[in-house]
Amino acid sequence: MTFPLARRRFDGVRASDALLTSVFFLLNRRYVIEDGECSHYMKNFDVGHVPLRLPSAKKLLGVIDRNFGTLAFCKRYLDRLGETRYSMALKNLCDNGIVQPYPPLCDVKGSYVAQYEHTILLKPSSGVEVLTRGEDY
Amino acid sequence: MTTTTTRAEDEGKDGARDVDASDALVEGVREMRVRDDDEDGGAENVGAENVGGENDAAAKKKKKKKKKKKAALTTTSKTYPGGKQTAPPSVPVRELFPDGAYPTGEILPHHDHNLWRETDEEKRELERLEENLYNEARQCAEVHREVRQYISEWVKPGMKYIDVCETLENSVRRLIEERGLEAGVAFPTGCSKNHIAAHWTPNGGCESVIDKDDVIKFDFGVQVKGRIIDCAFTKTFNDMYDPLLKAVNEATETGIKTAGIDVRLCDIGEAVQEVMESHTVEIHGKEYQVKCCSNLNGHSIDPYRIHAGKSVPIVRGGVQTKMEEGEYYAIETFGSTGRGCVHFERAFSLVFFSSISANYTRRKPSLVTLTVVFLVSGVFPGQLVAEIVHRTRYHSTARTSPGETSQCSRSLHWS
Repeated sequence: MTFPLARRRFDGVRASDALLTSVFFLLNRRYVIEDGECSHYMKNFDVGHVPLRLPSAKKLLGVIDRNFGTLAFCKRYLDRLGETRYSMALKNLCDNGIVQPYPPLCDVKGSYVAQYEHTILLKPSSGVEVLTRGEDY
Repeated sequence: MTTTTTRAEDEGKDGARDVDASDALVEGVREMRVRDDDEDGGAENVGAENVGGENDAAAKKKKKKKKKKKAALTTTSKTYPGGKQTAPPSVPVRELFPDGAYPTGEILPHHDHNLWRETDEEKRELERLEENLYNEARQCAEVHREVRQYISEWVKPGMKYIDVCETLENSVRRLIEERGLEAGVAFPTGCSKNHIAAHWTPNGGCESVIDKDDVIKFDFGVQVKGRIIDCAFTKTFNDMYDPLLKAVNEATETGIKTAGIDVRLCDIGEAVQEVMESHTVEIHGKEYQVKCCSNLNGHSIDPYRIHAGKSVPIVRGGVQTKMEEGEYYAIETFGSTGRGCVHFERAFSLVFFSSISANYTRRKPSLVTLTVVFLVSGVFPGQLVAEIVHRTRYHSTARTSPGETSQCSRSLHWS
């Protein structure tokens, strides 16, 4: 079956194929993306000077250097600083290896993961100090 | 409290460590706080009596009981040397501790082979020199304690994730008195829910709402002069998850107890896994053995560097590197009812495609690869469909030109 509207091309992708492709594209998308959008980013600690071509990326790197340095940040923190339309620049920084994205880490769907964490300090003399110990945990 | 039971149990097991002293200390602190609360409740009660004046003894008793409970619940009832904290927290901890000395955390004594350190003059001097730095870390820890206490009581199903995160971060900023890189939030507030183990925080405009069955892992950090405090807890609104939380909490406690100077990292992983996987939990009527997320780790922390190079595994078979004196570690454990192994949410097919599109924009994955992707991930890649359609249609004709191919694969980019 052919679409009468589609221009018939001899050895190319037909409109019907493109349609099918995009339908499955959307299905895939819905299946996986859901919460999969990356939010965490951090500048690599050991990165030296990297020449950047994209002016917006240069500008964004300046903002990151001034506000976060090598601390981790998320897109909301950039919004808070008044940055807009930074996704292209951020992607460029990631592609250049200056900033590392940390996408969500997941177990299988339907499972439940719990976490507890403390920061400890190994003191030279008096023992291990559990800095974050509180009444709650 | 789960903490104490673990200690009591494990003490018998390894017997290497004498935790009684620290236990007594924590108990003492707790008692003191409870007494504080009592006093507050009592004072309020007296006031109420004077106003009313008609209550009989029984009613008084009842009232007193009620008040006490309430006093124990409200965040504001806790008194610090410099006053009280508000709810939501807004008083900088610097004002709550006017003398500038922040409370010390729980101190666990050294393992047997390191007991000489306690009396060694050189080591003691070393510690005295570093005391100022420790104090900064303790300030961060105090901020963390106060903020998390409020958040864990305040957060309720029906709230938006983004609102909870903003409140939390703003509280931290106020309490630590944010000043650029010198003091502030150390990393984005993680509030990963259910099957997401880590690294999830809402982006701007996110509309997700907390559900009453969600398991939320609040993971947030505070830093002063680069000294990062990393601490996390799990919040649920359903008793059904309590055994899971208990398992993970016990595992973390075990990890902390095993840690020490000259301890091999692999030994910590082994101890954690043993405790974690000894638990079974029943969730939604189905029984699971709790599994450690094998590819998640604790980590050492350096100034301005959250992951400083050493990883603390939570399963056996790790590296034999040793912990050293003066190091900061984030000891974290993850217990899961799933596979016990995490991956990026854009599972196989998508990770696969994005890596392909990033590196070889012009190359098209072969039919075999696509089929493998489908078999492994259970997701039917659109490209596979296109490919099959294409091959059946143009079986006899010439293959598509390279230009056409790249067009096809470009339509499948995942940016």
